[in-house]
Amino acid sequence: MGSRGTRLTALAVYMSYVFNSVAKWNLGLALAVPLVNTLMVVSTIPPSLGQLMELLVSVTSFFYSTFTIVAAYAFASDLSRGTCTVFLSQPLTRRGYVVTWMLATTVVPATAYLLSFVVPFVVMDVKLLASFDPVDFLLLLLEGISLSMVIFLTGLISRRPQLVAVVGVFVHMILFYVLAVAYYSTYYYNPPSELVAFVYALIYPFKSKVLYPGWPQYAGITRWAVLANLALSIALVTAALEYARRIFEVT
Amino acid sequence: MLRVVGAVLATTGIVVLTTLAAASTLRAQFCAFAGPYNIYSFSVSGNRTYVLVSLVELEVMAAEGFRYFYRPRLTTEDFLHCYDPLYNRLVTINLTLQWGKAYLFKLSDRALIEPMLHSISTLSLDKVVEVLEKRALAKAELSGSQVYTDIYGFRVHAYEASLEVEPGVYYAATILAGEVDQNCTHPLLGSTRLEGSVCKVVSPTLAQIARCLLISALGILLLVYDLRLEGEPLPRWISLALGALRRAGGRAGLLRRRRSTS
Amino acid sequence: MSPVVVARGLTKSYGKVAALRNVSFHIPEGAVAGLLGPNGSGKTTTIKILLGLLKRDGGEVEVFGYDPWLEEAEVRRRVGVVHEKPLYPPDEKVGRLLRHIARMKGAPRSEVGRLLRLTGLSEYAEAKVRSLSRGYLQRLGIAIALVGDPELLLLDEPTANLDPGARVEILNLIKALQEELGATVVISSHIIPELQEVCSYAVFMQEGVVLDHGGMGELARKYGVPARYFVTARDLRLLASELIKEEFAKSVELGDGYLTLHVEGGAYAAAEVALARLAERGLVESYEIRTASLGELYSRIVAR
Repeated sequence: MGSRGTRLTALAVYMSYVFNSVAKWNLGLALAVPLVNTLMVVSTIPPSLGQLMELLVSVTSFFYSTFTIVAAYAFASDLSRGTCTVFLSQPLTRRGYVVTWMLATTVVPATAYLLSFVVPFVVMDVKLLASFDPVDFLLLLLEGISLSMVIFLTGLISRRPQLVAVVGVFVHMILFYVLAVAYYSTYYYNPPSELVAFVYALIYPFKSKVLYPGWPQYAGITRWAVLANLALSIALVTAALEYARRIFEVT
Repeated sequence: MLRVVGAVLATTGIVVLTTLAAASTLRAQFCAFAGPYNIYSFSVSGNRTYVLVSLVELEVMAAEGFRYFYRPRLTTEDFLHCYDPLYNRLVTINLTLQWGKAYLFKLSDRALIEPMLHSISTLSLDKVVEVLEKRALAKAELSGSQVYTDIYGFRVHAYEASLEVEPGVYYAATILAGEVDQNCTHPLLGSTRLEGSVCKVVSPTLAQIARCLLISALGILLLVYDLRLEGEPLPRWISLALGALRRAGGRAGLLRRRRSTS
Repeated sequence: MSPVVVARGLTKSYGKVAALRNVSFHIPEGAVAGLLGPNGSGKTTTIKILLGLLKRDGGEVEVFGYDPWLEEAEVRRRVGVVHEKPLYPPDEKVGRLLRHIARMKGAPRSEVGRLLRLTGLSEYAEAKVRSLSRGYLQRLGIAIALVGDPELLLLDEPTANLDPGARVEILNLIKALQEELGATVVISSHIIPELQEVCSYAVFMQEGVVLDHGGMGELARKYGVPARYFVTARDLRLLASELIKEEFAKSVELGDGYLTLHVEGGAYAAAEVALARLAERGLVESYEIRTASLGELYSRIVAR
């Protein structure tokens, strides 16, 4: 087998190894999300289906966030404990290693989440899905990926799982409420501050749409914020890859 | 990745099936749960399930204090983009009702709101029947009445309709309810109107059970395929299940052979 | 023989602490090279740089002609490594972990069984890594390192933290493997005497500096330390009786098919003249200076 072939084989095998390792945590998603979805659909009669879907995504996205933190924590643990050395001593490049874990903390939970979200509706009544706005999902994935990348980079650079957990909880939960309070307090007597609206939509494109919908005068701002979020995600991915290529050492 | 997908599908199918089965046994609790949202409710009479549908639209817009009370619940962008309760500016409301008729209103002050509400109220129950029949969601034996409710000093026209649906079409009815409703309904509005109605969650249908099992089976197949692909041993529970299936298959084959020879 | 590893002016610092300072050495193909020095002398850093796990600050390094930092996968494809403090995924089964590594290296599945047998881990294939003792973890490390028949083995303190029994066992295993595979081996250790039987080449390090390096014979001659000649002959007893008469001979030991001649430092010339003479008479078939006293060599080099 040639050098390139070996490299690709090693990457594919390691990806499968890591994905299979994180699969057991993602089973948590497969337990929690369909349970919530099914229970909510059969037990509540919402004002409208669109609202029900938004509510479901809002509630279950919490599980999604949690599992991205868990995956990033596992990644940082792999680095801090040194178990990564075993695989990085094989024909796996440092970049391949980082890409694998990047996917394991972003794409794998997102796939598990999407599947576990959609399946209950396929079972109950596939028509229910028609009332759901796919843009919501896109925004949720965008938000999930950008926040996951922040947590992932924290793990990659610091190699400290505890710090990853703290940053994860901060960006997914605390910062969200801090900005929500800022948004609301600026809004009560006057229109919300443009800056707060922009920052909110930049960091939380999904939550800002669902929980705090924009005012007409901020529609443009929100669009720019979503684009900025996309640019931020691309920049974070590029930063992680470049860090892996130039700086990342296995100590 | 196949293993992730397989594991998620297998688990999800089982969870949904279990939850649906559990839900059907816990329907009384759900009924109580559903109470505050009584715009739609379900009543059971004999084998029939009745879905009560109400149309209450736009009442919230005129309400003082609406901004505080409703804002977190309002998520329809169309509505928010068109309405500015804080300054009561000239805005356009583009409220699209699902059966295809769009209403455009121009609001400049409170005086203009009332005629708008009247125009909404001109929607007839016939329209609702038409939609139901077109979509074949239910046998549309509809009876209803126009009711008037005072909300913050405004008289709002609402419809209350009872429609008979086939057992097991709970979700179809939910869709219908979603279509009839327009996001701006008051969660407490008319909460007394449906008091005493019996709510029911229909048990999972055979089709739903079949779909759950199918999805789980697909997940397990993917799992087995991925494990075989990577040359890994199958988990004990899968081996046992496959063994049982093989034995069952063998026994069935044996029976068939015996029948054909006799 | 062309060198497998070449390091020229290698430097590496961790913050303000210099781990390697202008390190230069090479390791010829087929050698069993000891990377020798006390703790903190830069052995592990050197091995990690050779493997492309650490980035050098300066200098050049080549493994099989490749830069390990830039062409890491190509280097690691041909190298097997046992790390100093190996940490394997604790919840993984031994056999499964080896299967994954074998697949990563493109090695056939049958190799896993062979390596499990070779390293005495067959019984533990279904055991979880966390259940293995230190000795068996080290065996697992060696099994992982041997996957894909590597051309170069890097063994970083392979006997560290082992009890004396396990230490001897692991060293014997390494020796047998080298003979079987014919690979180039680099073993780092701070316990110098234990490599006496294994090394044919040595790189002496201290505080991030390479003090000297070379073949054992070459170093023994250079520093005049006692050495051992391995001699083969048709009639070993006759040869032994001839050699023991010589003044340079400290002692003569008869082995299975060979004879070991212990020579004092500084008496190599006399010994080799005598051996050449005996060869002319047909009493000696071949002779080779194999190992010097590593401990003595080390103390001379460090004291220099």
